[in-house]
Amino acid sequence: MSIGIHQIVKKFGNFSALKGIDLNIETGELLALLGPSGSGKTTLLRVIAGLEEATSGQVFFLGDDVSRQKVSDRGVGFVFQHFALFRHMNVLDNIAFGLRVRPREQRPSEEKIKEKVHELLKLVRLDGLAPRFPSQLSGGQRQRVALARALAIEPKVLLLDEPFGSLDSKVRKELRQWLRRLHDRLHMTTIFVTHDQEEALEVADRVVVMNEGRIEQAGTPDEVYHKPANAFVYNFLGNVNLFHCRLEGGKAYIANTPVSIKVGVSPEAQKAKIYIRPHLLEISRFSQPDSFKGVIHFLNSAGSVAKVEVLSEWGEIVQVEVPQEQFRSLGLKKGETVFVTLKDAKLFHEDYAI
Amino acid sequence: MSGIVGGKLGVVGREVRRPFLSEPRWVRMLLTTVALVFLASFLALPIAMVLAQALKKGFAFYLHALSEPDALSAIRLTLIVAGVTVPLNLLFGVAASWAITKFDFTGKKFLITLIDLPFSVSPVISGLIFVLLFGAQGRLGEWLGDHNIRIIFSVPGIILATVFVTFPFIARELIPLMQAQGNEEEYAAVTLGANGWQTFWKVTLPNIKWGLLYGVILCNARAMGEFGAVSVVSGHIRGLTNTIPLHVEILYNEYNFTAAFAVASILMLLAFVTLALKHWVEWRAAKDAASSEPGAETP
Repeated sequence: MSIGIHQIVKKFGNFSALKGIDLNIETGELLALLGPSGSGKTTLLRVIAGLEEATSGQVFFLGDDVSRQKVSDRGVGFVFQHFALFRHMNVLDNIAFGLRVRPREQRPSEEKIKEKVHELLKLVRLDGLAPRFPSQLSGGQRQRVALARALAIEPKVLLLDEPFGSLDSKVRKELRQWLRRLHDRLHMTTIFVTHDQEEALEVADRVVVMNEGRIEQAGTPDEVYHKPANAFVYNFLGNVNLFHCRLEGGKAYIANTPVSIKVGVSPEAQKAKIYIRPHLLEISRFSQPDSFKGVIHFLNSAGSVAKVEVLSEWGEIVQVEVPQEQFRSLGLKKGETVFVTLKDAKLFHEDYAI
Repeated sequence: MSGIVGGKLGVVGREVRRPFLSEPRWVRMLLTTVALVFLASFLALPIAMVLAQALKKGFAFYLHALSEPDALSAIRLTLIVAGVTVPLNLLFGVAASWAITKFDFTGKKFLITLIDLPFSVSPVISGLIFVLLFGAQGRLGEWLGDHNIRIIFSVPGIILATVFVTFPFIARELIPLMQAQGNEEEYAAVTLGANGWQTFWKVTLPNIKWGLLYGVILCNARAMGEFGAVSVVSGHIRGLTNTIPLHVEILYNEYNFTAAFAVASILMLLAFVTLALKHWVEWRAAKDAASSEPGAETP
């Protein structure tokens, strides 16, 4: 089912949580709402579900305005951040709840309900756990019960609020790949909220980056990662080094060191910010054209890449990620002098505030 | 951890001696003695006195004191008052705590303060408020008199005063409980298609049942034992507007001590029943909480 969001504004007292959101979600799409806390992503999800009423603007399901429809009539499957399982009901009763509260005419028979529950338990790979209570389940299992419960009512759209937020990192990784495969099987329009950029980029078809109640950029994981619309998006989607620089005569200068970035012709000197990811910096033992000098301040080679902190000649800490192989061949040690080259940096003009 | 081991070995409750954490022996003895003497003199002694006085003239007299018409009428009236008050306050308590914990509205803080009001006002004043409101002096009293409706010095007044004095009990018990539980389960129920009524019966009520029962027990105990407010509005008409506590007072003032204590022993019995029920509810609630909290494996 396609979802249209038109000029949604949500105010809590004086605080504007959403400042005019426009977004279209295609049928069968898996969309991530990504942003820091307070960016309005959860509020937007709750507005779509009907758990919050928008101050102004409309939500369309398949072209129909549902803005004034009650939550219980919208037919959305909602998975809460802390699962919100009914603690006094066992797994079977939890999953069956949505079917049992239907009006008598629409309610399936008790055998049909049980059949459906077992089908869903198989889908979320929890067969045999029907008589357990939520307290007897692990975090990952509760998460899947919550998902099965939401799917039981055959929703037209599945909404997940920080679905893996309260799980430990290993379970998170497993579950998000599993969610991706499940989505590929069910092809249900799905929106999930996350503050974890890795999760959004790995799972979603399309990522919507939000900040302070606005959409900063919407695009495929590739687009938002490689073609960030602005400094905020680039900054949010991974570690970055930030340099303040001066543009002069088609060259960029940090302090008084010229650095190797292509700069459009600028008529006069102006200030700009350079953002660069740690793995796009290169360390060498000898001076290169447009490289800057620094002293190794900190080393950590545990992990897939070695992390090096360099104290630059203008006195700032610069983070560099070096592939393990190169790290070994360079044989870097703390306190040594090295030269750093910028391979591919993003330049954003100073007036853009993050 | 040690609880599991201890439980298996059957030595639950035996304290492990940790001399470095413990006070000197004489300090422990002194504190224990003080606590026991206090309990004995302020609880056990009065209880024993009540029973001794009540049975002073023999068991037959005791039964007679309880079964004479005025006593029976007082017992009946007390039961009626509690029977009306508790359900009313049950409804009010659930509605008020539902409103306070599930909705946002202006004046919420004010409502919470209002609920606490009977706790901070002397019961005698509470009774006086109703006398002034519905008594013969007031405008309302005149109108009521013209229409032959009696509130003060009759059963409706007693019920009104009791409702007023006891309404915080259930709400006060439920509000913190429902605040701690949050609204997420209710939201989940609503997204699954449940209406408000279904959400209340199937989700909210099972989660608050022990707190609710606890509040009902406390409310009932107070409704049956209330003296001050009821005393002001009752008018002390024997056989008509006397509740058990008022009847005890009348007998006492007539120097009929044995009968007074006999009737008082009913209230004492009520106290014991309340205490036992309260204990049982706490135990059940703790058991339920233990089985519905994450990490229930550890005792």
